[in-house]
Parts: sequence; structure tokens; C-alpha cells
Amino acid sequence: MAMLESYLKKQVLVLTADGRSIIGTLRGIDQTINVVLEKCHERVYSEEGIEVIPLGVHLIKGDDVAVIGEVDDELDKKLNLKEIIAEPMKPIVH
Amino acid sequence: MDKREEGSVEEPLDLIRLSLDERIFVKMRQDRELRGKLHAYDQHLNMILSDVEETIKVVEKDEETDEEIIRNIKRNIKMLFVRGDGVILISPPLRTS
Amino acid sequence: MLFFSFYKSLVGKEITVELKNDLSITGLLQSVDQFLNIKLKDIKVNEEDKYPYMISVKNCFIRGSVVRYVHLPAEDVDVETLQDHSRLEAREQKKQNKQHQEQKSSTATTATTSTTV
Repeated sequence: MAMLESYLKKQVLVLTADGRSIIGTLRGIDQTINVVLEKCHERVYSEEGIEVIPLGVHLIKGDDVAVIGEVDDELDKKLNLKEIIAEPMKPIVH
Repeated sequence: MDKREEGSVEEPLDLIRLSLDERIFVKMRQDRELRGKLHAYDQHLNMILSDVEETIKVVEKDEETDEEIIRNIKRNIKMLFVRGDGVILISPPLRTS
Repeated sequence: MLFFSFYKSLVGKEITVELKNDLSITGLLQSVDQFLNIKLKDIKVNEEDKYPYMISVKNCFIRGSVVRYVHLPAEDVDVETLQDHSRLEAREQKKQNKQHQEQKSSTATTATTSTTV
């Protein structure tokens, strides 16, 4: 997909329609916004800081994609995940 | 330009066309309501409204009495694009004629 | 087409996209496509402390279907032009629908004649 070509091979964050945050390397993308992420992990938000769950390779179906963000690696490295306290993201309600 | 075509209501969307440049009421999903002046629309009911007042109805439960309290949250937005898939109904301004 | 063209005229301007999960993202409009998918740069999520999910993200793509509202810069919106375009597009749409209807009814008549013959 033309709009997302500039994000290819980069570290991206996918916010899903059901409220999850998945980070990984963007390996592929098509017209329906199906997304393939490599070396990815999920960040689970809770009162005890962010928990990281390794996932490997993931295909996320286009319908389930809400936002794709280009991760700034420098900024991301500086984050102290244990100190970021937030409620889980709300799901998309159509 | 055909005068009759411009002014008549043959199909639902004509009603919206005649409301251009007028204040309309829009009911949205999830207990949201909008009032604003209509400037643009398409067949999906995507719209652009100006001087918008949004009202969100929130139902809260009183911890002590267990009673449900309905609270209206209002906010004003100068210029707003509204995505059509959230629209439930549109009501044009009341006309005296 | 109307809104696609409209958004193209706003490229480079600051907008706030409000999603159907209550997240609001402010940034500069970078590009848009026919589905009204939106690309923003230099983004900031409103109430970042409460919603820190995109804290290390500067640029993003938003799927058109998850958008609830877009807050627009009023000074960059020409309402007269929008209204004219809306009327024009409504007329075009009507013409297309009529043609479609006529095509349908003419094929239906052909079908009935051929069966009676």
C-alpha cells in the first residue's frame, strides 16, 4: 500500500481495534491494510507498568488495525516501561 | 438551472441538500448529539459542520443510593468533520413555511 | 470524492483526529487517500499522561474507518466552496443513480421479451 511504503522495514506500533499495542518490524502490507510484523511484542498496560510479551511473527488482519505508528527508536529506548502506568486502551466502538 | 429540481425533495438526501448553510441536529451512535451549521456532505453522510455543540449523555451510578444519574457533557468545536458511519439521524431546521 | 479533495487541500495543516476509542491525535496532515485513511506527522496524543500508548511515535497512519471526528482549522476551510461542491456532487450522484436505474429496467424488459418470444 502506497501510503505505508515509507514505514516498511521500520519499527512500527500497531494499535488494534480491540485495544492492544503491538510493536515490531513492518515486513509487509497490502491494500486491505493486512500487516505482517516481525520480531514483535505486545505491550500490556496496567497499574503495575507495562508488561512486554514476545510474539515472534504476527499477521494482523486489516479490519483489526486502527493506527500504525512509526516508532522513534531513540525515544523508545529512553522509556522506562515499568514506570508508565495507564489503563489498557479502550476498544474501537463503531 | 432547473428550479424545480433544486427545491424539491424526491429522495432522503435532498433533505440534507436543502439544509446546507443551515443549523441542523445530528444524532450519533453512543449517545452523542451534535448541533451545528452544515457546510458539506456526501452519500455516506460524512459531513462538515461549524460552530458545533456536542452533547454526550453519560450514565453514572451513585455509589451510595445505587441510583442511575444521567449527566450531559457539552463541548464546542469551531469546525468539525463527522464520519458518516456514526450518524443515526439528521434533522433539518424547523421551517415556518 | 468531495472529502478526499477537501483533505488534499489541507495537507500541511494541523488537525486533530478523534478516534472511536476516544483517543485524540493532533498532528500535521501528511497525506490522505480515497478511503479517507490519514497520515499525520509530528503527532501528540491529547492527555498523553492518561493515554501514553503512542509516546515514542512521531508519525502515524490512521485507518479511515476508526475515525469519529476530525477537528479542522476553521480559517483554512472555505465553506462557500464546500457547499457548492456538495450541491454539485449531489446532482452528479443523482444522475448516476438514474442512469443505473434506467439500465436496470431496460435489461429487465429485454429479459421479459426474450422469454415471451
